[in-house]
Amino acid sequence: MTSTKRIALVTGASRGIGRYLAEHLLGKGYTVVGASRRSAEWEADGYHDFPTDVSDEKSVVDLMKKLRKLDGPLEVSVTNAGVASMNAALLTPASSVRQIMDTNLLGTFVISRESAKLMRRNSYGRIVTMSSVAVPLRLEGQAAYVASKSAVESLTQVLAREFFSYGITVNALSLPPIDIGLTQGVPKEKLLKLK
Amino acid sequence: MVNKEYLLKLMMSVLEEALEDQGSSIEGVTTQSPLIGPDALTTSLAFVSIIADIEMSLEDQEVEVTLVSEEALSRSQSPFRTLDALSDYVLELISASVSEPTATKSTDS
Repeated sequence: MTSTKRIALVTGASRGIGRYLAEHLLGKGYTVVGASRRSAEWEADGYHDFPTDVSDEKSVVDLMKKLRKLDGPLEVSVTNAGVASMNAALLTPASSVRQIMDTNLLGTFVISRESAKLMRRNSYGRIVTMSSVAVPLRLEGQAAYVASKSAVESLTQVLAREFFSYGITVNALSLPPIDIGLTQGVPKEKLLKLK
Repeated sequence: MVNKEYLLKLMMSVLEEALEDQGSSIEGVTTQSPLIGPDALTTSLAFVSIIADIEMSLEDQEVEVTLVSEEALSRSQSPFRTLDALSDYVLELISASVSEPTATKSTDS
């Protein structure tokens, strides 16, 4: 009898929260596929690094093609890749808003959709999207980020209903600020208030 | 090679699986049987799975097409109405994707 390992996909796994999530899932016995724009600066047994731009649909489809060639079913997908920009709304260019929406919202949508296509085949899957405590706090200076994460929460709720009949659950994880690259632009006093 | 015969065989196999999942049989089903509308063979949920499975099966053959688009949905005659119509539509998409780079090339030169 051959043993196939279960696969977990983590976007934004090259560093920060994504890396820790990937390492956690490796510890749980998963084969982990990491997908970030940049190559991961770390390696581990069972970890596959497939550089991907989650805001580019074709890049995600290519990622899934590579993932399908691995031995085992995709059971977990964590749409962790995200970007933020600390700036007053009055000074935020539309290009920044678009970039944030493309990565945080569009990226979450496309990764979830493509993951569900694979998970559907085994009638089992767990998709975890990433929201933020900045959403309920309506954090000033993070208008685009908060809007994108609010959209991710709504998206998660709709996907949960659509994918339920395929045996796939979709849940959002709302995290407090964690000392990683994404919070570098947030003043320390604001971070303390959020904790 | 992806031609109409190949596509119909692939689609019929995907449809058979979807029908089995909903407790129905492929018996009596033809390439002209309705996929959508009040007399549709499958539930709307199964129809979504069928389209996704066809896309993935084509991907396995290195054929990348997106079947559902605004353009497809706005056609007066839906390309999703039967397997026969759907296979014609897929061939149309493949043909368009093959001719696109050539057209760009000739414009550049």
